[in-house]
Amino acid sequence: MLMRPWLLVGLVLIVPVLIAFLYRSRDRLATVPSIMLFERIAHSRMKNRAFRDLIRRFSFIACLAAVGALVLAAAEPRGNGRGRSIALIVDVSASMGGDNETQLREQVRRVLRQSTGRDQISLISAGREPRHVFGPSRDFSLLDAAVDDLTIERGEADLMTALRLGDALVAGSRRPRVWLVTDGGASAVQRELEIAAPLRVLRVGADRDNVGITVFAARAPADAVDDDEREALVTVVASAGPPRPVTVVLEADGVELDRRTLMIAGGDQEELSFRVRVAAERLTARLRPAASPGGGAAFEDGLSSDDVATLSLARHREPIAHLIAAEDDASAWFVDQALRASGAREVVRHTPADAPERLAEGEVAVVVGRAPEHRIDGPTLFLDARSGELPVRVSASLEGEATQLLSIDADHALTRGVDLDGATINAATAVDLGDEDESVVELDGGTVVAIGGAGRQRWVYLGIDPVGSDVVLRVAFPVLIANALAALSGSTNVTVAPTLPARESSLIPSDALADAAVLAESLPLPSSFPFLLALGAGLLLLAEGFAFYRGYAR
Amino acid sequence: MVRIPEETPSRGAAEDEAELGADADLLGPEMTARLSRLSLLARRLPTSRRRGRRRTRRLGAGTDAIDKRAYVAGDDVRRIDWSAFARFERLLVRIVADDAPLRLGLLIDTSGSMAFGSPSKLRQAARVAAGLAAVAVGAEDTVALASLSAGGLRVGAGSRGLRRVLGTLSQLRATGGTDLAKAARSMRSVIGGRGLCVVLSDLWDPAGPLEAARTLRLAGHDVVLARVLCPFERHPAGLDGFTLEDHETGGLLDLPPQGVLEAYAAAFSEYEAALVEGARELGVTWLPIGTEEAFDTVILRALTSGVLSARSVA
Repeated sequence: MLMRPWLLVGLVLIVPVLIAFLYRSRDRLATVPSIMLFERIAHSRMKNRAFRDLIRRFSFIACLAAVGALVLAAAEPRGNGRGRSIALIVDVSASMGGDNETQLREQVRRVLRQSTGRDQISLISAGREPRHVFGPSRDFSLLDAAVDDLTIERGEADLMTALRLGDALVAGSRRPRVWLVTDGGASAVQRELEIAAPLRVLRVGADRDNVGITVFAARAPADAVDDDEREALVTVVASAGPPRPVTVVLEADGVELDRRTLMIAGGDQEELSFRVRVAAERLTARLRPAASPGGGAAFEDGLSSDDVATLSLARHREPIAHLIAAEDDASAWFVDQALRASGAREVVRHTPADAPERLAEGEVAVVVGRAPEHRIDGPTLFLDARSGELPVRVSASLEGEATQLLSIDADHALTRGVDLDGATINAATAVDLGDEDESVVELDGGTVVAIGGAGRQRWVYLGIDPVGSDVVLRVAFPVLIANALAALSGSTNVTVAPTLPARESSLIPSDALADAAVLAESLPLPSSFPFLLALGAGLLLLAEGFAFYRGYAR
Repeated sequence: MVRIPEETPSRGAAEDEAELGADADLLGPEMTARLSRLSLLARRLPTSRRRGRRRTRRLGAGTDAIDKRAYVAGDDVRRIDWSAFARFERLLVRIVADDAPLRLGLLIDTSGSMAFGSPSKLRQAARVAAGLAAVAVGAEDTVALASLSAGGLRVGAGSRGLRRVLGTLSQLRATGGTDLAKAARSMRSVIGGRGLCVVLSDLWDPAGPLEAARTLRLAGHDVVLARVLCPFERHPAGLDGFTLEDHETGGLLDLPPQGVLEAYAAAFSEYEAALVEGARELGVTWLPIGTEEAFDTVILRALTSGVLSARSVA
């Protein structure tokens, strides 16, 4: 099938080629005793007439073939057979940003253009959550538009999932292919990767230089004079390369507070600490290449997305507390009061039977006495809970001598402002902790205050019986509850800015991509048949020109 | 295909290989008689066990006294010059020269290129060879003949020997390639000793035009290099833009569209000068011969170039 059959009219060009050959064949030949002296003035020499005739015939055939191939290439032939099913996976991780983004789109378009019209191509965006964004399709313009819609994400690419997704998309087709366009920083590709379809990798924008901020956090130092005093921590990483100077600027609400310049070598990471005292809502760290000490120009940074990190210093809003206690629980009233005193926006009463299973953002569960039988999906404060679904195992009920205070972590956020030394504790519940859990207060009989879990599963356990002690009557109780709420609903003590993963900033190439036998270093792009035809024609014409220039084919 | 100009027509392959027998009368009786008054000149006189007319500087049993010396015991008493003894009262013995024949070697190029010209270069070469053979036979010298196609032939003096030489020359055919050095090596075995070798060729030898002469000179021969060319080879007019085919090798050449004659003339002069200089350095006598030249003219040039001389010993 020809896409432009009318261009076959160009085959009439064969006629002048034929005329030229016939004219060329009309020799003016003379036989002489010897050409020994004539060689000094001759244009060219040929071994004998038979050889020259052979060259001429070859030259003629080459000319005809070249003209024919050129015309055919212009007519753009397409086969009618079945094409390949290609899953084109495009790495949209943060490291593909900057200059890579332009290069990425060009390479993808090149791949699309050079695949024949018979190929069916599916486009997969490989970001944190790989997605099948388009296809399968043979329409280049639609695929081109889909490539335009790809956006570079701020994070790593889960190439492993993307490859499996691509493999699944082309599974069952006659000629499945998986093509991966990446910069090589594919941390998620495992060496044991096994996909059914042949995999090829097109590397884009390797060997760039980059520095980036991977950690930006602020915390209240232990010796802080007031809440406005912060210690800002900045971690900078660099891609491979020689040591280079970078400048880190710390700003508060857009006003520069401090700046430092440091040398960082390829593959290293450096940590900087800034001590600031400022009442601001936003703290920003900026990174920029600096001029070298010798006066040389600053290096060109590969990624811009990892050069700025901003964190909010605004305090968290006070949480909504779901108080879960039996209706006849005497201590619930004290806890309710303490929650309100510690700043809870709202206190919602529940019994263990109707306790919520999942808490919304900004909500905290407070379980008193008996815990619900189901696990609560959200941060939870357990107050002398002895039964139900607990994150710890109750080891003992303490009374008498066992309730003597043994140790207290006075520097812990839970015990800040809480004085338990003078408290009278007659009854308490000791618990056994896991390896990751943290003991804060211990009585002779065991741990009674602990903290553990992570994220939404974070919990605090207070094993002191409100009724069997005078703690609830003391000022320490609402402070302890406030500290627990702060610990559960998001600490204002340490705030961390969202940053790129270190692997993306340092552009560390994946070992799997470099070594895995299933991956090719570069993608041998499929050449279209018309292109090959035109290339062959060009080569034939070159050979013909050379033969004519050297006089072989005259 | 276009033929080369009329005055020097190329010959077809069948014609090239035609025998010279159609014109076997290479040397008429009148010319033979005229040649008998000439003698070949050799710078180095030959060695021979056979007596001839040629006086050598070697002491021997000849009759011409060339010097005298004092008698010493053991000398042949028949050589004592008694008349000198009568005059000087001293015993002197006559020193006489030895008489030996000259060995003439005729090396004829019978390659395909020798078929060109009118008459052909081969015919002209054969005529000159016949003339030289007649001179040698008349002086009781021996004649050896070698060619690329006919191999070697050696004949003695006398009219019978001359007939054999003429018969062989008339059988020569111009065909095949040129390898004069090989023919020169066969000449060394045919001639039987040092002598005067005459190479008759157009010297279009891929191995080099002077290789045959060098081979013969290394064997101790006097060498005459007689180069036979047709007029076309000296003045190839009308070849602008032609493709040339080598008659012997089949090689093809494309000539420029104009200025061929001028360029060739310059190249020919340079080449010819180099050949003459090369021949001089080898101690070889250079004798150019044209196919259009009359036989008398060639003999006259041979006389002036020192190849021939009027006979001094009759």
